[in-house]
Amino acid sequence: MKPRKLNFSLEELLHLKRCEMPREEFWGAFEKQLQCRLALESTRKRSFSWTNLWDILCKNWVHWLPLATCLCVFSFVIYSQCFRAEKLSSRFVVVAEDIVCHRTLKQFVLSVDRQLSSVPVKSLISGSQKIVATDTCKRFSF
Amino acid sequence: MDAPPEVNLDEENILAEQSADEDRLWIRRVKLGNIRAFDFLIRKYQRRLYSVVYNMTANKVDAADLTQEILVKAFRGIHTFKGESHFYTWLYRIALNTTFSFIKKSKKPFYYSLDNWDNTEVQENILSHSNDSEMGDKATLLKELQEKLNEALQKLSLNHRTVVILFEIEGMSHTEIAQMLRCSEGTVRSRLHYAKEQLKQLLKDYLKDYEA
Repeated sequence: MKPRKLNFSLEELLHLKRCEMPREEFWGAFEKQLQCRLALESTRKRSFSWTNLWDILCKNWVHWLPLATCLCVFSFVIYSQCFRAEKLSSRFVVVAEDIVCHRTLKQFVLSVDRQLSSVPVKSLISGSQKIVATDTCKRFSF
Repeated sequence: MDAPPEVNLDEENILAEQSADEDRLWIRRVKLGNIRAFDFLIRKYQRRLYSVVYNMTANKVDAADLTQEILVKAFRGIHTFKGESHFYTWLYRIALNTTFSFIKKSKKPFYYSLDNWDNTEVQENILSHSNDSEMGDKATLLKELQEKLNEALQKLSLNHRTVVILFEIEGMSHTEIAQMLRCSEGTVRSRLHYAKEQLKQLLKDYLKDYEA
């Protein structure tokens, strides 16, 4: 289509779009349909979402925060007790005939009473040539 | 010569505040469980929302569906509205986000313009500017302009289109638009400038005194 030469400014043309509106009967049908969707929405079971959970937590922090703090403290105490007990029970020093490379210290062959046995190594006591093994009750030193 | 009427900004601000207070009251009712109170907010904003969505998509059917979706989303999330901004800012933000996702998803947009014109007086005023003796009937001219305008608007990027629609068509201020789009007023002004330049280029055959 060949464009017509007109005397509009851009603003006038854009203001023309303000007059563009649906017919009045459109709104009747629109509102009816919208009410159905809103009614469905209000009866719908809320699905889980992290945002909802966060909102709930933010709203009720007075109730759950002391409880959560108590749980954290309790868990920490239990964990530290267990860790301490484990640390005490595993203070075994073992003798090795070979020099053990620290980096590959997962499992190595031990010589205990001239009998070779494989012992899983728990950790290396730093700064010394002592090794903590998990399943022996005897103390050894290099 | 008569002096131009002074725009009373204070009065406008007072009215805006009154409107915001009214919104807060209805939102409070909805939050307390009065679902019917949301109807008031729907009636207040549905036409303006529809207009924005229609101008963004240039499709009257999609616009109706999207507007309903936006209002349902607002209803669903009204409990998260904390009142830090105006309700309409929050609502328009939902509208823009929903429309952006829709436009990005629809690979092949289909334009379906409205066929009704409100406020004949404005139409007459605008059409009186055209002095073309060859001009046919006004309805045909309006239709042609509408199609060209929609086409040109759809050629703009989403950010530019949004700013032009909110400022020129919806009549919002730079500040309001900046709040809605979460950007600075300077960005809004710059986008508006570039968008208008692009539109002038696209509609140059219909505009007076246009120099590229």
